[in-house]
Amino acid sequence: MKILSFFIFLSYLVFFIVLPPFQNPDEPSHYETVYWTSQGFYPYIPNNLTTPLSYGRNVEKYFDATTKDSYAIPPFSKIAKFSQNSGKISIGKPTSIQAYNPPVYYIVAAILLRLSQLIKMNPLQQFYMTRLASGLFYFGTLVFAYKILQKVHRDEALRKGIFVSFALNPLFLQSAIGISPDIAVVFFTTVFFCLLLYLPVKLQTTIPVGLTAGVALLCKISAIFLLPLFVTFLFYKKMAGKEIIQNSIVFLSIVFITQVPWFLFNMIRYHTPVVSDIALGTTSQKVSLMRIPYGFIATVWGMRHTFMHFSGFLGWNNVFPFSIIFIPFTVFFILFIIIGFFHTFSKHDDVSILSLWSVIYLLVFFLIFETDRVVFHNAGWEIGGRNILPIFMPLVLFVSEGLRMFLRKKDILIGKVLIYFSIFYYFFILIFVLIPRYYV
Amino acid sequence: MYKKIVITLIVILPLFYIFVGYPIAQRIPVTGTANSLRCFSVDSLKPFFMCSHDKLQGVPFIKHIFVEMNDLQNGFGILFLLVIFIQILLLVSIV
Repeated sequence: MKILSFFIFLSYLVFFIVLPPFQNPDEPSHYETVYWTSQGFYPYIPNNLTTPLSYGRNVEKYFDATTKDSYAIPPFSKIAKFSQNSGKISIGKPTSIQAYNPPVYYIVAAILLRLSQLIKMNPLQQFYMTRLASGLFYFGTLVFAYKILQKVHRDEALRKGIFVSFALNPLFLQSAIGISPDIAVVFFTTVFFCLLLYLPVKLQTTIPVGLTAGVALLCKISAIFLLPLFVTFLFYKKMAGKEIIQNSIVFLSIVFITQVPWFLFNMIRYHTPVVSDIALGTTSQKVSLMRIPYGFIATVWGMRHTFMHFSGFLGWNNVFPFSIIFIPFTVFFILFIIIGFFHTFSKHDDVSILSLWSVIYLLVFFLIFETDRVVFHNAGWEIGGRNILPIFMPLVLFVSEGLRMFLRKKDILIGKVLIYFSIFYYFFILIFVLIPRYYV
Repeated sequence: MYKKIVITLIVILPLFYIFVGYPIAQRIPVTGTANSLRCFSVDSLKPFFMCSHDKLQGVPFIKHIFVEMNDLQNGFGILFLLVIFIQILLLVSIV
């Protein structure tokens, strides 16, 4: 396991260096949010998203990351000049389109950025130092993910195979490197699962579970699926009705209490506890209700892209393997997930319950959310693979379960094949996708 | 032992491509948008990333690592190869 862990560490390191700056979806605006947070000021959400990523009138020319060219790297020399002259510039209200996200991840990243500024690193080094925040969450996730696997399979070979498949997935690696709160949600979700698996369910232990869910929600709103998940878990534990109610109330109260500062902050700034329309990027429009079925079907069909991203869609989802590779990968990925998903219904252990219902709740959340955007807001983008990373571990468990059904439970063989394939695919994506895209 | 070697070679198969080079890749359209980040023009990035100029098109990547004149870039390229080599050694233990 130590050798495998070191291998994973080196694999992460290679990707960390090879993946260029700002080549993660929304990374420029996430970085800008971190930058302002490091200066002690949480940026505003811009009023009008039709202006090209306004970063605040007076600093736009310095942080103009997304130019007319597709995702050009911002000029670090300009950022350096801004850092030197910021005292002389009237900056008004700094803005970031990602500022609707809660602040936990940005605070952690800002601490690292501030540290790098204090020790006089140059802007490029500061950027990589900030990326380390994602690295911390990634390795923390791996620690707790392995603890979850120890509850699932007795066979060590299979455990290792699932672990490596999880850790070396290209999309997961990219999300673990880029400056984005996605990896933070994955970390706290993994911790949440671990707490439920290892702690007895009673009022005293509901407190740390509630705190974890609350902090996850303070990384990104998508963590909301943890709330119904906990209540569902209580039902499966066959507790008395009164205990379920008590534990649910304590849990939800603690989650609510953790959100109060963020709600108050939004109320003061935007007169709403949760930012909605601006975050969606468009304004509401009246439409015929007949559009809803169409919107729903379009959303379900669009989710094929969500699963496709796990085949190695990097960059701004514009860097991907040849179709002869990613199409079969996606087909088999979805096929084994479905087989494993339905087979898991026959199991009643804690990991299976958490896996099933976490996938159900998160996918339902995104289906509703995305259908709303398509129908009522005429939004064009779809849910990316990175958005469902909190349930990536359950999905990998379903794949392994599907393989076990298909290969008649030859666990040792499956484990070894998963390890070899994951490492092979990692090298394949590195050499045939990542390096050619940016360096040749 | 024989099985170990064969499996390791299969798993690291993609790595051989850096020795073969990218002449083949040049004939395959690069997936992604037209505005590719072929060469980072930002001065502060150059020490850390290898910039590909037109004359390097079609050059094997392994040779590409040593073509740049800057010592730091060469050092970075050598470090990259070293890490890959260590990974191969670890892989032999894993298999």
